[in-house]
Amino acid sequence: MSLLDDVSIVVTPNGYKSGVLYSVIPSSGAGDLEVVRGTAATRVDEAGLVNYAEIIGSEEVTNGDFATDSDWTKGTGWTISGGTANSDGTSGLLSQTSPALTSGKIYKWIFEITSYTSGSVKIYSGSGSDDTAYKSAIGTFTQYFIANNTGKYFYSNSFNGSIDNVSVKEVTRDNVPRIDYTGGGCPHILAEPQRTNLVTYSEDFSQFSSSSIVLTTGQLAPDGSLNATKISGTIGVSSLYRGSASTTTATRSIYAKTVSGTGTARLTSYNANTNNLFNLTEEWQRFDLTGSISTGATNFYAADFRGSQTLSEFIIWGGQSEEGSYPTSLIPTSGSTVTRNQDQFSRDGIGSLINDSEGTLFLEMAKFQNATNFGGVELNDTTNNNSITIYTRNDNSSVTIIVRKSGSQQWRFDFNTGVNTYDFNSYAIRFSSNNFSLWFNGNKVGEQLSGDTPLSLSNITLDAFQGGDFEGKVKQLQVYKTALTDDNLALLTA
Amino acid sequence: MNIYKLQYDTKAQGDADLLAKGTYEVLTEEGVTKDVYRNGTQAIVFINKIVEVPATYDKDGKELTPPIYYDGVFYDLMTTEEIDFGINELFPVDCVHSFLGYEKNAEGTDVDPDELIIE
Repeated sequence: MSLLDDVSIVVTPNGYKSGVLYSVIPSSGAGDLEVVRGTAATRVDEAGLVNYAEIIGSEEVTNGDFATDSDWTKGTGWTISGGTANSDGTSGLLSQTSPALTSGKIYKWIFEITSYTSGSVKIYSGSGSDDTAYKSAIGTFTQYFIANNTGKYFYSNSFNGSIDNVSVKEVTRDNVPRIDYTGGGCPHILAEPQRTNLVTYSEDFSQFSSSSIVLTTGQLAPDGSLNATKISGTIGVSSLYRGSASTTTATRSIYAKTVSGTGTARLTSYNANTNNLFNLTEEWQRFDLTGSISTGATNFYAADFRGSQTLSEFIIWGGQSEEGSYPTSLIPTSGSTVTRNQDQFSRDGIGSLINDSEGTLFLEMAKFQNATNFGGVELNDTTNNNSITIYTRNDNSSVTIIVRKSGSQQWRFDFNTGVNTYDFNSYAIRFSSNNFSLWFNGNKVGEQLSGDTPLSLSNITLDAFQGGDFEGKVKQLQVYKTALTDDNLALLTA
Repeated sequence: MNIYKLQYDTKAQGDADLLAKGTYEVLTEEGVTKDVYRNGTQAIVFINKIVEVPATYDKDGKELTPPIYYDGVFYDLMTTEEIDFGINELFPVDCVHSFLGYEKNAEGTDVDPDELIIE
């Protein structure tokens, strides 16, 4: 008998769409988690790049490779031949109106300039200024834009050259669950709290106040773009800061790397702080600190060369200052403070998949280091009067299990794991009448042979007590309709 | 989605109004008290004061002249519900705060969640 024969719900970092994280078991959709986060959010993808979690729609372009002279309306100067669309240097439009785009939605547009002589070309949806970035060189270009109209146009500004491999796809980013690869290896589901980036230009350091600083843009950035900036200064003299962009209690972070070799630099806060000297290498790292002295506390110092350090130049990207005890994923900004909402995961109405007379809840998870809330994971009856809850405590090493029936606590177990709960660990709660136990990393660590089981369990949520949203990372979530054996639990949590 | 830009005389007044309108409740569990969103609230962002004239600083980041603020304190609220905030609702044209993926000045009812600004 396999454990898979007993399991009723398995959720791992797997398939998803906007608003839904698919369960592996059941595959019918009955165990899919609902995902709510009314804003976009970033994560680290499988290639190690920082980008938005997004859903890419189907292809909106017909004959994007110009294999035939069809499907496109050729305006002044445009022809289709030889497998490309060609403009002779006069200004005019190449267009395709069917299928129509939806005004107000965002699209990812990719095209290639395969030959280039002069002029420039840009994409366009038919009205407004939904994209103004003309391209004037051979290469493959990817642009995101909000469609102000419904067409797909290339506008030649005296463009003399050829384009090919055109693709246009709708992009959705709100409520998209984040499968995060931070740290490499197997991915995890990312559950973060609401945070606001107080640094109003997270990538544009030309908006910062500077003293004896030279900025060189166009550097390869952690998101794969050329939006990083090389900062050159004089040790003992230079600084680069954004005013009214932080506090004494904020967590500050920034990506940085050396131009070559290794060295130290003071990042994110005023030079006299003692926690802001970081070791940079030729690899991108995200550096963070929490708390600063009052001098310059409201400034976000992308770099402050006025203290002791060894590097006079390095490359930076993605400045962030957020109120909280630990850093969260990058919240890009461009002219205002910006808020990313809380990730919320839940599924109700699945009483058929949860047995309230006996069962097992298994989790492989890690809280965020220094998270101070009582965030956890819970099976309940949509209230917490009947519930099985595991939540991580704010000491970075303890968890608490609480079982309630009709509002009455049946079992409470406070467990110091002896390890870091911000590292991935395996937890299993086995419950049946007069028999409750917690298994941790292969061992039974707590047991109570009395108490009743909850009633009418029908909901699973990454939210303890109707308000303690889990803040951390989840690799596995499983629910069994049986109280697994000791052998099985040892195997499952090992 | 609905995004409201709100102004109150004080934080106490703003918190009380948002609580009275059911946008959140105060929950104490396991010895910890926190505000928990309710009734369609997606986010409440306390912006605090908004600077009208920025402060000036010396080269060490020490303040030379203090900032001048607009009157009162400010909130941004994202919710699925339509709520009448009366005179506390503002309709700014150059917002200092936005929600990730939404246009900088997005506000009002039925804001399209796909109205994203991306670079």
